[in-house]
Formats: sequence, structure tokens, C-alpha cells
Amino acid sequence: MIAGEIPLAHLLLERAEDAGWDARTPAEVDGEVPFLILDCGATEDDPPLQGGPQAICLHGGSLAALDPGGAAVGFHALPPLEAGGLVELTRGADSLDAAATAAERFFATLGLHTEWVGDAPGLVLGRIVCQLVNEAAFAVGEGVGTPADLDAGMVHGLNHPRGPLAWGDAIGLDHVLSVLDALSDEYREERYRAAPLLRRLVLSGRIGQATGEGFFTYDLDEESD
Amino acid sequence: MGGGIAQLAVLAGARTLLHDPDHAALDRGVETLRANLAKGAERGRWSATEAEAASARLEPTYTLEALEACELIIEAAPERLDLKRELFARLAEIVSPTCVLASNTSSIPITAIAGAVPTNPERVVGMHFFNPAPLMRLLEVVAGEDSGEAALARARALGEAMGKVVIDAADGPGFLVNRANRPFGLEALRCVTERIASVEQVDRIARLGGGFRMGPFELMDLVGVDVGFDVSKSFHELSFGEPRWRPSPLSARMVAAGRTAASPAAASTTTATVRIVPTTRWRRRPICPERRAARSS
Repeated sequence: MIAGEIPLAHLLLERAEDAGWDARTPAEVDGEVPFLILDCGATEDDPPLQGGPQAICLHGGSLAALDPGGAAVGFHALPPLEAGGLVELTRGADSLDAAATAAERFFATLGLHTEWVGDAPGLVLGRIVCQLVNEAAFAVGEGVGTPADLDAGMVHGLNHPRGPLAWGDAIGLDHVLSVLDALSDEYREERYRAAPLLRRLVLSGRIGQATGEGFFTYDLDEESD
Repeated sequence: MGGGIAQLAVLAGARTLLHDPDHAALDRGVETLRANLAKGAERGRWSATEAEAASARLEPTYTLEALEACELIIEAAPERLDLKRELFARLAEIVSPTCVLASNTSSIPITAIAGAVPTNPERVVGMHFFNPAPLMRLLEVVAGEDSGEAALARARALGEAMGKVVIDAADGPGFLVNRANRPFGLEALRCVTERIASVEQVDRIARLGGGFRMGPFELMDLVGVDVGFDVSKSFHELSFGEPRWRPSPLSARMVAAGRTAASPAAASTTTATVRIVPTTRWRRRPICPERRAARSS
């Protein structure tokens, strides 16, 4: 069962179906205990789902914050999430071995590597990439350059796999902002404050590819990656 | 880096004067450049005729005064503001008032360099090439507070003639690209400092999970931990203490311990950053029964 509205949840549903899983949203689960619940919608106010081994997407906080004393493990990954990619996992003192085993097995069937790391909002890649998007948003907001020039610069000058702003649009700017806000809440450091431009885009509903507009605009009729 | 930029210029069809105050270094630079042009022809990057024509466009100059007739000068001197200011002030007296004076600096504010040319600072711009200049496709054209549109346009046009992807950036710490890349290293250092992951794990996660060609620590070793730490300090100073750009105490300890892996060769054999990786409880704890079984077998 895969819950949540961020693009990552939709991507995971797709990948799970491609790998032969009977992947369902919470509405489609009728009483049976699923092999694994992937909860991509957990926030501090919205506690994790119950009823089976469970992995919580840590974009809204650390595992300790989202599932205090609970049995779940935490995970985080970013699009494009293709075969050969990697998903980070974390566990707390009370996480069940069953959840850890199920999560490892599930991601392995999707052709993804797994890496066990320590607990934090967004884990390692989420933290690095969301801060890359944030720094880019600060630079654009301060008029240092245009989004198109910034992305072209990172790809052609530093060999990055994709520009940070287009990447942010693919991840979902709401997802990026929730990682930054969770880091800001848990660390209480100014370092993790979100760029005003990024927050305004999210507040105005421009969260990227999913809505057709973020730092760039997208044709919603066209199938895009 | 001056040699690489000169190679781009001669191949773009510009008559190019190369200068270095160290005459032996200048002669070596010219020799290397001509050899590179010949090598490129052998490898089919351009024809032998093109290489010869490009080579003929290159002239070593032993005095700054010989640069008098230039239309555009690209400075690639060491990254020291006093040195660059002195050079720009002297050049401004030698060349015509319309000659564009460009700096290939990656970290010094263009506005601070332009301050050495108070009569017409509008002709001072940044032309930031990426290492190695002949191979990396990007040119960042940087506008200082007083850079004029005519000078910026000429810098862009030259970049395009060199076959570069040209982007515009305003003055400020690290301009556009190096600034936007700050978190790649700094957040990686935080993850390791907080023992969320080891150096090797962070690099693997960046490569496999993020699709980056190199992990942040491999890159730090390649550039030199000491060089990276100096850059960090410069960002922090120029921004008056922006918290996102606070240098890492871990880098400071690495530099103090002399583990700087300055050259690519050193990076591949010693991986200087690895040794201080902590062992923490979560790393030792068996993850799940299957793993426990796999480990004991």
C-alpha cells in the first residue's frame, strides 16, 4: 500500500506496478494486512497509518518526529528513481525488524539499492538536494541569475546530472519546502530557512511539474519525466 | 588556466597575445599550447590546417605594453585582489579606453577589481571559465556594479565564438554557479559530522541516488580539502557570516591534520577524508535478521 500525494508517492506506485506488485492506495485496501505500507503523507499532525509493517517517507521530519516510539522504519528518495538508483532507510530504537526486512525486500524488487543511514529529515540526499534547490532559489530571488542560466550553469560547468531548479520542479516544490521546514524545525538553525521565492511559489500553488508551473512552466498534456 | 583560455581564443579565430611576467613560464605555456593544438589535430578534434592557422595566431608578449592594441584582455592571474587591482590599473593606462578588461576570477568580486579602474569601470567584467577551460562547456559572464552593457556583450560574443554555453551572473560571492553549488559539499560535511552517514556512504548515495558523477567527498579530495576550506572561508567573509555558508569545523580539522589530498593521484590512493569517519551505534547494530545471518555466514 502506498499513501501520499507528493510526486514520489505516484512514482513509487508506478515503479511497484512495473515490478509486478499489487500496489494500492489506502482507499483500495480492504481490510487485509499489506506486505508493506509506504506512507508518503506522514506529518507531525497527521500520524502514520496503522495495520502492517511500515516505512515512512521522511520529507516532513525525522523518523523520531513522525513516528515517536513507533514500529516503522523511515525512508527517503528522490525522482527520477530509476533502476540502479538508491533509497535511503533509517530505523529508530523501536523500529520492528519486520518493517526493515519488508522495506529492504520491496526496494530490491524495484531494482534499487538501499543504504541504512542515521535519522534526519530528508536523510542524506534529500538534505543535500533540497539545500541545492534552496540556494538556487535564493540566488534567483536575489537577481544573481535566471533559472534557465542557473540550471545550464550547473549542468555545463559542474557536470551535475540535472539543474537544481528543474530537479526541484520534478521532486515537487512542496516536498522540497517540507524537507527544509523540517530541518529548520528540528535544528533551529537559520541555515535551513527556506528562500522566500521558494515558499511563495508553494504558497501560490506553483509546485512544479505536477501543477504545470514552478521555476519553469510545463505542458500538462505532455507526458514528461 | 591562461593557456587553456588562449587555446580557445586562437581556435575561435582571434589573434591572441599571451603574457606572463615569468618569461620562462610564458615560453613553456606557448610550447604546451602549440603541442596541444598539434595533439588535437592528431586526435581529429580539428584539422592540421586549422591547428597551424591557430598556432600562427598565438604570440607570446614579454611586456604588458605590448598588449596596447588589444580589444579585450582576459586576466587569469593568481586569486589575490591586490595583485589583480595592480594589474588592472596598469593595463588601463596601456590599452585604449574601449578595450574590455575581463577577469577569470572565480571568487573575487568584479566590483572590487573594477575599483582599480576608477575612470571607466564600465569596461571591467568577469569571464569565469571552468576547469579545464578547453573542455568544460560553460562560460559565466559576470557583471560588476558598474560593468557596461557594451563590454558584457563583447565578452558574451567572444564566449559564443569559443563555442561556450554563455550564462549571465551578477556580482556576489561565487557569482551564480559556484554559489549555487555550496550545499553539495557543506551539507555532506554536516551529514558526516552528525554521524548520519559515513564519507563512503554519502558519496555512494550521491552517485547512485542522485546521479552525480562524483560524490562530494571525492570531489573535495580532487580539488584539495585545503583549497575548498579557503573557498568556504571566503564565502563566509564576503557574506558577513551567512549561516548556510559557515565553513565546516571538520574541514578545518582535516586541513590542520594535513589530510588535504591535493592532487588527483593523491585523492585516488589516500582518500584523505575517510580516516576520521566515526563508528556509531547505529552502524554496528544488525539491521534485520537476514543481514545478521548474511554477516555471520
